[in-house]
Amino acid sequence: MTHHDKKGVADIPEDPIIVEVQAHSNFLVTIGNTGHKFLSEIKDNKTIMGIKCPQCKKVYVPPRTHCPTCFAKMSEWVKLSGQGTLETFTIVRYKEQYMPKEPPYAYGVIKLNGADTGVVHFIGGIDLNKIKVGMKMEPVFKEQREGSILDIEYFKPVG
Amino acid sequence: MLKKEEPQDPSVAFRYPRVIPYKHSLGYQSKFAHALKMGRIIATKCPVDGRCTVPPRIVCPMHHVRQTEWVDQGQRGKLLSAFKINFPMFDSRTGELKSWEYPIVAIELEGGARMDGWCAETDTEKLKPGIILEAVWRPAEERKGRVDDIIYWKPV
Repeated sequence: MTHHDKKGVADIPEDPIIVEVQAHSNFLVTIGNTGHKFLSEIKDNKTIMGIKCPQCKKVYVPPRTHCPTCFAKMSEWVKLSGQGTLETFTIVRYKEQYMPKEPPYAYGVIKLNGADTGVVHFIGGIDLNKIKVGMKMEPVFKEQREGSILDIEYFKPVG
Repeated sequence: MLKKEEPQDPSVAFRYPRVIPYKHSLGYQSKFAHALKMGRIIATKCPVDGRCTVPPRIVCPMHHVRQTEWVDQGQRGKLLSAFKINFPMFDSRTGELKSWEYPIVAIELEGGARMDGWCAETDTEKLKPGIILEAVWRPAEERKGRVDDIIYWKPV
């Protein structure tokens, strides 16, 4: 290759360039048969279902097709009462793009009675400053449900 | 924010449309972007072994030393390898499936750096390692300081 004339680079500016990007992200998520049953039960019967591992007997909510510990295929559905215990929570106080609701609001991890894993969802029906780990929680379902995890509007303290 | 697709049997499916606007500074790589706007490819050079890197890096990934020297890489390069995708793949800019008509080539530039790009020659049988390719640039007024200012590489 004799074409290269070995130009200098001194004439090329170095001042910083700020790039403005519009990143497009369009994707389709198909939730599969297991996820379909989970959301259908919430939509049609206001029931939260777990799925049980045939080997380690752990009950997963939300359900998944295979146990992440034993890799066993899971097919035994367990009907849960929906009530559970708040394991941890956080309060969102700042506003960002694509937030599901107006801040301030609270997210919590609720371990449902009869389940071995926690569900992440909104905490509502309570003054945010009064939320405490260990509280007994229950779901509040939307009147108009469409087959989404947001058919559960939030979890509120029992009673 | 979440739109359910109809109909999807037997499973529920959701489509998430998102446009995420953000800004970032190219920092040290700004010089590289300025060069692209000028229709030139430049690389950083490692002071230890002279290896040139495109896109440029402020630190040599092999020797962990600061790279301060810039080297012009010319307009031509030697083909190292080529491949063509014969099925639709995701376009990372749009998230949509897209058919890719042109092969992707890895090139060793005249200045020694390696980079990849699209090739105008769609017959991969003709893309033998070692052939010389030349960069074809967008018109100067359309260049944005991105590597796709090089539209494709064509055999010389």
